[in-house]
Formats: sequence, structure tokens, C-alpha cells
Amino acid sequence: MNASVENASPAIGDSLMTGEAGKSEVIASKSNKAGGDTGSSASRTFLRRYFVVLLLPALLILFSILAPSTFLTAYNFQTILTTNAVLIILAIGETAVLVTGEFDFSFGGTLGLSAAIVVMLITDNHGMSSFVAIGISFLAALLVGALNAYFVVKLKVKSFIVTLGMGTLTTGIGLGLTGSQTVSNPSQFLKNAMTKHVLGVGLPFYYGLIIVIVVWFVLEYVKTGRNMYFVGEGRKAAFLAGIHVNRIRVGVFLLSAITSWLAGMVMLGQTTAVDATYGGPYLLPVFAAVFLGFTTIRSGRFNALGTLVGVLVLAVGSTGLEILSVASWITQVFDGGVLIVAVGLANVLGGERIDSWM
Amino acid sequence: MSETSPALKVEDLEMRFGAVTALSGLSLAIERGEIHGIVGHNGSGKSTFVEILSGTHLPNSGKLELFGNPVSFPAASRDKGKYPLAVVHQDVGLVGSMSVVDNFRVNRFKRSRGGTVSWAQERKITRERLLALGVDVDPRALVEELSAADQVLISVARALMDLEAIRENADQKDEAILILDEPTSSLPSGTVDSFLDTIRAVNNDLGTTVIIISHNPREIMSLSRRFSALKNGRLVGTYLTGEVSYPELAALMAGRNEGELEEEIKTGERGRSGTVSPTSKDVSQAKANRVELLRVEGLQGGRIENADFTLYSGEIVGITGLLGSGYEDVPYLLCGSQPKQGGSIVVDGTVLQKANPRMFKSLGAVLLPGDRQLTSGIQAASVRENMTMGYLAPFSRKGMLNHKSERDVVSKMMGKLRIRPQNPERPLNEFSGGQQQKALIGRCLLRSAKLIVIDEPCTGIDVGARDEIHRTLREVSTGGSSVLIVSCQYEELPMICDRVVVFQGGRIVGELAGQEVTEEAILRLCYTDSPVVST
Repeated sequence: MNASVENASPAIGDSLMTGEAGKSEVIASKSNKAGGDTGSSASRTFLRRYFVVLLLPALLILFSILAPSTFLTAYNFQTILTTNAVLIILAIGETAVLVTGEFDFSFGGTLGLSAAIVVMLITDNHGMSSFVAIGISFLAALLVGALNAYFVVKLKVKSFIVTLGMGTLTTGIGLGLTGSQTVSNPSQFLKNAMTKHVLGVGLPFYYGLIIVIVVWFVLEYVKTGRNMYFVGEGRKAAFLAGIHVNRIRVGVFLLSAITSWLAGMVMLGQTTAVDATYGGPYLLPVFAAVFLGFTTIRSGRFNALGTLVGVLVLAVGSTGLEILSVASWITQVFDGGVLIVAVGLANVLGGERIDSWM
Repeated sequence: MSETSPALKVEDLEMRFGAVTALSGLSLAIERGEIHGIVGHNGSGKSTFVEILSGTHLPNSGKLELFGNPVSFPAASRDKGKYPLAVVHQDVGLVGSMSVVDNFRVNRFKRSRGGTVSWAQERKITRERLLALGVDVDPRALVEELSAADQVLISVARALMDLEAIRENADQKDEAILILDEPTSSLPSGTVDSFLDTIRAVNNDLGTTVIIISHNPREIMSLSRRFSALKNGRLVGTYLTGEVSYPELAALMAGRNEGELEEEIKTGERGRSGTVSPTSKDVSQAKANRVELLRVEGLQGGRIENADFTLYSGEIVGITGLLGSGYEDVPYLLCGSQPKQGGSIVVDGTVLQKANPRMFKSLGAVLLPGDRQLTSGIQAASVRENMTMGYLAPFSRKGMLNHKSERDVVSKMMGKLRIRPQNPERPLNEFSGGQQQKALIGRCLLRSAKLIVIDEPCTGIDVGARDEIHRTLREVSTGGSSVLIVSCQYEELPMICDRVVVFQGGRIVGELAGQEVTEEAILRLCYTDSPVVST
């Protein structure tokens, strides 16, 4: 060897080292630490995981003490469940979308458009039967979902932007169809389907509950559900593992369109007067509920039961505050505050993972 | 300060990431006005060294002096750089969707009296500066529309401008250090020489000290006066380029010092501990009843211009080359996630018509991608979910998943692969790199695939896990499957591969088999200046 060694370091370890090894070792040591102290940390984990679930009885007790005669009545609880059916249905659709790492902001518009189409087709000289009108509005909602999917999956536009535009677009069309009027439900069928009560609770709540159970079952016990999580958590890895990534993404936009349509039918049947903008105010509570759900039950993942709990927390909270007759603006403060806290909480619990969603 | 003090001097630089030490007591001096190369294999600490100098990481301990002045970390940063040190990163650090003038002048825009930017003047400055380095582009053009060579040069020009701005106050006009981190890795081969000429001119005319980090021995040979070799976070030595032979340099780059390498060539020893090469009996047996499981003909796509190779049952074959030689595209062209421009792929007798990962899977092949963070593993998901990803059918009865049988199967596989703790529900990111990789290899095993393609199976994992993975793969291949290992860990390939195919410039330049498979032989094929094999 003829090279001049100006500065040689004799000791050369045998161990392999790369930057990546460094990373993984850090992770490993962190987890070891987490595994080390059991006892108190287990209860802390439990508390973190079920904090939002425990919030529900806490709020119930709080309002029952503060307003025993008005809040703590069967009628009040029946009303809470009945009037929040729309929120449950919308939130569960959005949950499926968020699981796959997408957003759908267009549900309010789809809801309004669906309702407007039914009203227009039955009244306005069209005089169609309820069933045909409802069927056509269903197809229209599916078309909206398909368009969302086309732009997001095929044209690779961010779902955030596409659905934001789509929501406004469909709201506008809905207003156009009803001549920007507030209209009432012309369908006796819808009225029956949405206002009948079982155990004092309106049927729409049960519809919502059924969808929650179906989505929960799919996410937990069906191949597609597992694959949906993979699409959200690691799209590239999922694709390379041979999962139908795009088919799943199209599917959730269609599902979300269907739940939005159903929410539109519920709203039309439940209320005496509707216009196409009525879906708009749901934007915030839906996301607040879904993110609250993200922090609980399957902590760190969007999940169906968590969403249901999230909706109930919001519903109980805002109803309680209304009953205490704090001014009506308090509902907005509550919903907005909960969303921020929920996302913040989700961020803390989910660690780095939440970055990919926001 | 004193004129004789070196341009850059580090002493006892120490950098730890958790339990792993990336730099342990690195000491190094770079003389004024020289072009100094830094070489070393992956994990040698050279990237960490650059990252410390560029301010990405703060070292745990150690001293840095620039031109005799002690410097506090972080040393270099574009916005408030007070030290005459500028780094051009491998990815060049330009925003492709913005214009040349935006990229070039960002942070240095001159404000006119009204507080606005005078764009005409900015464009003029940009144009002049770039022309000085031989880059003739419209300052209004978008960076992404320019050639790779121009982009690198813009980045260099910007760094020089930064250095000049810092130096304005210094007494010594030539007190400046330009650090180039793998600057030619993205350049087409035809443009490398003129780029190196430019760097030489910068060094000559301005007296700027240049530090170049490179994988390419030719570059170090032609450009640098001296170079330093790193290994395992320490300095192996600093050498005068003129006194080192080409093979010696190649060996240093691969993280060996010549003594070690010579020894191994003499004794004919292959690999080190944990070698699991098949015995000759195994080989002859496998040869007798081997089936062709993969045939690739005229493959073209990505960086690959033309490649033919075949895999038989019972074989472990390595695919390697220098970074950028095309070998790294092989797994993704095979599975179809990266479109191929031409050629045919036959898996177990069936031509892969529509290439996509699903089709690849359906032919009984499985790909394990190379990035545990992004492409192979889902970090937030449990080991159970990771192992059965894309393979849920066996646990699904009438469309309903059976969590218990899934858990049992995964748990058994964890036991077999000795993944500790043996808890299928634990998220992947709570395991060490080696355990993670074993779990992901478990995914391939669960499928009992005929053809397993693994991209970089053992990057960033400890030797123990590596040996275990090798043993597992050997078992799989003796069972009649074939394994394709795509890797640039040249020291690893001889331990495990029956054959190794080496790429250079998008083509196969050689194939080694049996006893020929040595690290030295692989390196020779990787680095030889041999003309591309014509077809």
C-alpha cells in the first residue's frame, strides 16, 4: 500500500450503522421505556383512550344537576336522539372518507340538492310519485359522489379542494331548483318514514344507528375495511401490497354521497321547511364529532363507534347549554371549541400520524 | 486569524441518535484552497457530517474551527449565515415550480426605495451570476423546466453568492468553503465533466475551498487533491489522491481499508460471521430439478436501458450496482408500480401482461419494498395487520374476518422469526428496525410465494437480525422458492446470494456465480470503467 496515511484511526468497530438504524433504535428505546412502567401508565392509557366516552356521562350528570326538571327527562333524551339523526348519518359517512385519508366537504351541498330534487319533482307540475322522485334524487347524489371521485382519483386533485367546490356548486343548483325558496316536504311517504317513533325516538335515529353498525362491522371484520385503513395510513405500501387503492377511494366518495342523500331525506321528512343551504351548518359539527371519535375507542384511528360517541357528546353538550338558556350563540362556541380541542387531542394521542390527515 | 490555520478543522465530533452513534470522535482537517473529497460507504457518517455542518443536526460534542476561528453550531444556514460555509445538498434545494430568479435571489432580494423588489435588477443580477458559471437560462424560466445540470449549477451559484455576501466583511477574500453533497448524482453522465470543470474553476479563480462528498471514485480521482475516508463514524485516514490506486480508493469507498480487503482476497474468505451460503450439495441438488420462476427479457424503463436475467427455483439472486445505475428500479419495474417501456417479464411461465402489483401478486410472487417507513410497512398499524396486509383471504370466511385465527397465525410466525416482544397487536413503530424487517419478511413467508423480491432487505438493521433474515431466506429458497435481493450492501450479497447480477449505466455489466461472488468482485464490476456491454 503506497498511500500516505496522514491521520489514521485504528479502531474500527464491527457494528453496522446507518442513519436508519439510528432512527429505529430511538423508536425501540422509546417503546421500551413505555413498556417499562406498567401499573399507573395502564390506567393513564385507559383514561386517554376512554376520555371522550367518559365525558358523555359526565356531561349528562352535570346538566342533570344544573337543570333537573328540564334536562333530566325521557322526552329530552328522545328529542336529542331524534334531532341528531342527521348528524349521525353525515358523520358516519365522513368517518369512512377520513379513514382512507380523504376529505369530503360536499355533504352539506349533496344533502340540500337531494332534498331540493325531491321537492321539485313532486311539486312544480311534475307531479311525480314519491318513490320515483326519491330514486332520482338518489341517483343525483351518486352522480355527485362519482364526480368527486373522478376529480380526486382520476385527475388527482386534492379532495379537500374538489369537495369544497362541489359542496358550493350543489348548494347553488339546489337553490336554483327550488327558486331560492324555503319549501316544505310534499311527500307523505317521507313524512311517515321520518317522523314515526319507536320507544319515543324518531326512526331516523335507528337508520343512523344501523349505518353506524354496518360501517363499524366493515371496518373491523371485513377485508375491505382493513384495506381502507391501509389506504389511509400508507397508500403507497397498500398499492405495492396489491390492494385496490383507487377502487376503495372511489367507494368512500360514493358512500359519503349516499349518507348525505339519506340525511337530506331525513331532514326533508323531519322538518316542515327546508332549503338547499340547510346542510351547510353541519360542516363543523360533523368534523368535530369525527375527530372526537378519532381520539377514543380505537384511539388514533377514525372509527365508527368513536364517531357515534362524538356525536352524542356534541348533542348532549349543545342541548344542555340551550336548556340552561345560555344565549344561542353558545352552541357555535361549543361546537367550534370542541372541534379544536378534539383535533388537538387527536394530535397528541395520534402522535405524528395526524400530520398526514391535515 | 493565522494564515496557516486550516480552512476547516473538526475535533472529536460526536453525534448520537438514541443508542446509535453516527459519529464517534471524528477529527479532520481541510486545508485552505484545496478540493477535498469525503468518501465512505452508507452509514459511514459522511451524511451526518454534512448535516452537522449544514446545521440540520447539532452534535453532542466536538469542536469546529473555520480558518482558525472557533465556531458555534449550527455552522451554516442560508438566512443568517455568519460563517463562510455553504452547502449544496444532494437534492439541490430549489423549488421547481418557481422561477430561476425567485430561487436564486430568495432571501437576498434588494429592496428599492418604495420597499418593493426591483425585478428587472434582480433578473439582471441573476443572469450575470449564472452566466459566470456558464448557465445560459432565462431568469424567468421555471426551475423544473431546466436540465438537471443547470439546476445543480444554479444551486452552486447561489451558494457562491451567499459566501460572497458573508465574506464582504472578512479581511480574507478567499476564506470560504463550499460543500458539495453528491452533486453529480442527478446529472446525466455527459454533463459531469463540464460540471467538474466548473468546480475546478471556482476553486482556482476564487480560491474557494471545496469539500465534495461522492460515491464516484472517478470524480474523487479527477477532482480532489486529498480525500478523507470515513467508516463507522470515524476517520479511516486522509490520503493524497495522487498516491492512491483506483482499486484502493474503491475499497475505501466501500468502507474497507486495503489491508482488510487484501487479506480477504488472499484467503479467499467470503463474508464474515453468519455466512449461510449453500453447500455444494445443496446447489447441485437444486440445479437438478430447477424450474424457471422468473425470466426478464429486454427490460427497459426507469433508469434501465436493457436487461435480461433469469431466476430458477431454489436460488437466491442479488441485483446490485452503484446508486443510479438502474438496479434500484428492478423491483418496481417487475411488480409494475413503475411503468416499463419495453421488454417482457415471465413469472413462473405466465407472461405478465398488465403490469401492476395485484397482477404480480396473483402469479404467486411477492414484493417487499425497501422503505419500512413508507412503502413496505404501515408504521402505525400493528404487526398483525402489517403481516397480513394484502393477504386477508385465508382469514376471511364468508366475508367476515376471523381475528383469532389471524392473530394465531401471526403470533406463530412471530415466534418462528423470533420477533420480540411476541405481541401481534403492538404497532410496528414500537419495534426496532431489525424486528420490523423480520415482521415484514413474515408477510412474504405467510403467502408461501414462489418468487420473493426484496428491496434492500437489511438496510439499517443490526447484524443479528441480518443473519436471522439470511437464514430465513435460505430456508425459503431450499423449499423451492426463489428470492431476488435488490441491494447495494455489497458486503452482504456474498453472504447470501448464489448469483449476483451487476448493473452499470442501466445495463447489466456482469454476473457472478458461486465462488466468484465476493465483495471485491462486485465492487470491481460496479466501478470498472468498462464500456457498456453492447447488445
